[in-house]
Amino acid sequence: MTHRIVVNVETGEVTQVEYTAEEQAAHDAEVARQQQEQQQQEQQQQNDPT
Amino acid sequence: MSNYTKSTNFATKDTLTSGDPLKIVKGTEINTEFDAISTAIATKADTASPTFTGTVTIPTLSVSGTSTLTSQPILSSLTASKPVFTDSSKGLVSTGTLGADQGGTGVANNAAMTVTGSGNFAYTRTLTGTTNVTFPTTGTLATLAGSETFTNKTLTSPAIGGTPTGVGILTSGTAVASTSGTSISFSSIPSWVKRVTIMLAGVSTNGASNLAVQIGPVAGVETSGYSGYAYTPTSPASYTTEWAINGTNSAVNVYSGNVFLSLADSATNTWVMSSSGGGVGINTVSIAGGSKAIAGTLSVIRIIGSNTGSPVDTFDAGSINILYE
Repeated sequence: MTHRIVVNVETGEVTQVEYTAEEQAAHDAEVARQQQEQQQQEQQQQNDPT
Repeated sequence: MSNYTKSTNFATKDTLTSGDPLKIVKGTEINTEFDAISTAIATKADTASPTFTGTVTIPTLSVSGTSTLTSQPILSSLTASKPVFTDSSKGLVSTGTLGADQGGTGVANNAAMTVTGSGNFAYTRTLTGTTNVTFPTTGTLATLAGSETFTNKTLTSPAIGGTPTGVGILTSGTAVASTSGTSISFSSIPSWVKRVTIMLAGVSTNGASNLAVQIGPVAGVETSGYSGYAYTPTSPASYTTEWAINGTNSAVNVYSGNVFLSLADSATNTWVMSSSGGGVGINTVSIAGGSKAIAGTLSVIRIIGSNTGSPVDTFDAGSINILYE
């Protein structure tokens, strides 16, 4: 499961917060979207090297 | 008030010869004596619950029970070495100064004075003129363990022991390993903070998204409204959902650099960002700058690997910390 790290500056406490199922789904979708976008850009650069 | 004084000496009558007219005990003489006794008794105080009038002088008074003063006593004989009673609620009013034996001035007082209370009682001195409180030049002033706040005090050439904290002090946060997670946030940033330095040491992610910074008030980081531009020789770009700090990244890249955040306008909570650093792996330098007004006082800073403002890549190396002041 994906998580995020939160540091409380006041207390110095470091907490690892696990993603909820909804957050995980949103994250997976965003990763897929960015990967697709990156692939498209790379393909464009190959087609138009200038 | 009168005292009884005997009028007739009856004993002398016993020595008189019979027939002497003075030997006779007359009813009027006896009556006079009883009248005098009656008058004297009526004007003397009883031992049980007496009522006095006029001025009562008592050389030494020892009270074993409860004493109730129903009217205000006037302690007129107090001198400068006697304690002062000025509590109108108790009906005690006098003048004078606190005696040396009670810790006041007057004669030399070399004895230690301890004021001890067994309950939660406030010690208050309310004075109307200029009041100087002189502390001892040596010894322990207090053993108070709690925190105290001084206001409007000028410290001349202070020598500070220990580690100072708070406003005006450069404070280090807690370094956190950036070896996992999709974001690293620093929350509960003090409201007085006007400058933050984010330090990324050998930070890497598993993807090719930019390393980026987002800020926000206590409600959370904001993901829009950024004005920023990140320059890496091969791919400079501007960003509105985050402050990208490198325009090119890679899973093999290991980035180190500083990101500086400064409060440009406290009225609008506008912060300015500038950063510079280098990436080993893609072997390039990155510089970036930007600004953003957030909806409240800065409270949280988030570092992510993303091109869109939403965390995408996962951290897999390095450490991140902040300095704030």
